[in-house]
Amino acid sequence: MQVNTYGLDLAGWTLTGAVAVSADGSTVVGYGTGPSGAQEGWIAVIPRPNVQIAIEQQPIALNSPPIPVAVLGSSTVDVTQIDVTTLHFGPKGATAVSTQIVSATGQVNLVVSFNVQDTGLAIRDTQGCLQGTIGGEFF
Amino acid sequence: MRKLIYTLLCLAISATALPAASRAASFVGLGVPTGGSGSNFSNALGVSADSSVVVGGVNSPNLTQAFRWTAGGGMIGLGLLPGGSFSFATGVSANGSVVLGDLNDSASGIQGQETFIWDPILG
Repeated sequence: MQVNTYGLDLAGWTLTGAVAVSADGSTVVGYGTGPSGAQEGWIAVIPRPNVQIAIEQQPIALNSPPIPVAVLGSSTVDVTQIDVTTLHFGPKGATAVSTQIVSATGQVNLVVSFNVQDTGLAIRDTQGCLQGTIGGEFF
Repeated sequence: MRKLIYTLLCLAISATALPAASRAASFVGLGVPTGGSGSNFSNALGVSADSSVVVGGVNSPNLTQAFRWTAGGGMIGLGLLPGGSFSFATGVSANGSVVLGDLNDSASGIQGQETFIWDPILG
């Protein structure tokens, strides 16, 4: 299990099996050998990354310059841990054409640009999706 | 996979936060009954979709009982049928209100096994 990655205190535990998971994937339950030496059930809560993004308004056209999408860092989101090769944007899952770490008001953000024609976005589209991983976790 | 959604046509910078839980990471052992001959154990076998309820079985020697666990109420045993020696909760509904599992009673015997459904009103 990757629970050690999240700073969980597993001292004295040997995790044997993970049996079930909640719908959002944040809670996993199972059993193992606990500190007492007996078989014991456990509950691990591993919150999903709480990532925010932002974009400046711009009209969508095929000859538009690449769309910059900012992934906002925070006290709980270290954007330097984002694997930029996993980023996909829009219905066609465009990959990044450029990335840049930007510091603003003491906060470190990641600005990622995508070619409009690669995104699959159309003129009347009002929503898009950004997917990727941070610290090995999907967002 | 969780996705981020933003609006392209708004007038200013827009941002949408993931609805992900902001809970801190945690690891909790459910505990094991004390006393007896040392074969006590507990198992977590199911969790509700909303993470509010965990179910499973907890054993003190020769007696295994289904349980329902919540953060606020801890582990609550769901009981046994008359003459029964074990019950195990193996699944729970999305909101945690209904538990299902297996048990035996005096008629089915130690090797027998029947399915049960438990809810907080009917038991």
